[in-house]
Amino acid sequence: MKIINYIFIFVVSLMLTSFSPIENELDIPQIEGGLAVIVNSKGAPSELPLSKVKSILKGEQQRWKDGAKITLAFMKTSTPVGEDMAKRVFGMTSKELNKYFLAQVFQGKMSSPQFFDSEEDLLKYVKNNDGAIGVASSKNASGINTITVDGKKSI
Amino acid sequence: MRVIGFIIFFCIAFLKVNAQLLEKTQIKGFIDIGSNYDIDKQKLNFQFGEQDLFITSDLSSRISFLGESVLKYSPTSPTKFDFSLERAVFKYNYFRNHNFFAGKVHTALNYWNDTYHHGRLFFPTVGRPEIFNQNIIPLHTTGFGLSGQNLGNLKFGYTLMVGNGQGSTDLADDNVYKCYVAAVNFRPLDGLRIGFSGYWDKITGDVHTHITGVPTVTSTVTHSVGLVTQQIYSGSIAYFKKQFEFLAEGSLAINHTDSLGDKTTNAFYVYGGYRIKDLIVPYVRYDYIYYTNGEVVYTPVNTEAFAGGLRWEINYLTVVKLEYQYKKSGPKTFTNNMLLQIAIGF
Repeated sequence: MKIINYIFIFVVSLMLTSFSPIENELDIPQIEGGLAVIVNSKGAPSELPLSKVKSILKGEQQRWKDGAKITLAFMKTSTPVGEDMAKRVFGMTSKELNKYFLAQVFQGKMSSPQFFDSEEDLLKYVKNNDGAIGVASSKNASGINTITVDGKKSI
Repeated sequence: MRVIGFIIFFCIAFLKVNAQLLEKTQIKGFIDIGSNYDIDKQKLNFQFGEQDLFITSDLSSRISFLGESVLKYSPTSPTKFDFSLERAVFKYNYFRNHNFFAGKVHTALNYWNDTYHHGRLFFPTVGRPEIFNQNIIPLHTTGFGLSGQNLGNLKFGYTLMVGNGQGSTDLADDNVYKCYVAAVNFRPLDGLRIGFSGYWDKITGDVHTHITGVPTVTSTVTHSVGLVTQQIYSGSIAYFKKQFEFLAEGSLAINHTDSLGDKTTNAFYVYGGYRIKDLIVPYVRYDYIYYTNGEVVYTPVNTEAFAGGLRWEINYLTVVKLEYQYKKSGPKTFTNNMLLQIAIGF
């Protein structure tokens, strides 16, 4: 009987979670005006295809062609910009993106990205760090270098 | 006054440099607790698994450090817990995605050992596959090597390493022979990784297992058969996407002695999972290990195991797993267990 109790408690807990209204994170509203890929003045080119941008933002490339180290900077996935970025740029939910970066850092495959609560801090960081790249809302990305992705200024 | 001015300037500069370094040092950790219920003996046990702390630090734009230490159960410790340094890796990025590394690493053999390490939060099942529990492959190696990742369209990766062989400690090799590791992997599609690896070693002394610290091969045994030349070849396929999860890997280990010839061990496991909700993944795993008669390095207990369970990913830092395990060890030993594990990242 003990084993049945054991399984029963677990399954009931699962059911409670499953029937609670879970918002599908991929259905979240998009940021008005879209997202811009922001970069430091050193390292990054002015134009890249989306597939390459995704690869760079996933930490798969360690250096720019001029040798500058690529540093990743993002809004936290708990913010609207971070949540939209996870969906549109990475095709992941916030949870999946956080898990992805945690796993990559744990495996020693990349340095941990910098995460910010405010876009002001994010823009300042990217502006001041050689080789930095990040994602911000297009409407707040004026006054900083951006990359044209597949010929467009916004994703 | 000049001296005081110099000291103040030095202190400010030192603090500034340190503050910059500290910004790029991160400490994270994992812990797991759980319980198991032995169905045959009708006995419930609660257990503390491992507390894992890992530190990453970018020391310069090219130099980085990763350290991982674990507090875990040890039958030989008076407190029954021991501190263990699992990884301490210095890395120098010398060109694009190519690195030189030195230190103690998880041997780049197979997918599981190279990917999950001690992070039970990431394990798709409660525990490691039998291939690792029975020490078919050496889990750690201390030495140095070269590695690369995400090269070209196939996202090719490689690791080449020289290290202290099995039977050595973290401080010294136990013999004049070195072990060699070569591993390659490809990621032709998003979520898919195909890997192959080889390990070559000459064993003359004790081989210490990672799980209990008790040697599986005693000096007496190895000395009685002489030098053991070991070759391990492994292959793996891993596919992890939003809904489907598949992982299969196998190893062929050949232990050669002049007196007994080649003794081969075959080990593999297959894992499959299917996400039915955002948070829930039912899964199964099958493990198989077969030893040749007269095996001298491993404890030759042929093993077959099945595990089936549910993984409940509450968020990216909290995972709960409920798993049924059946294991057949040798011709007569069978175990049936229900396991519950709560794995947390912090």
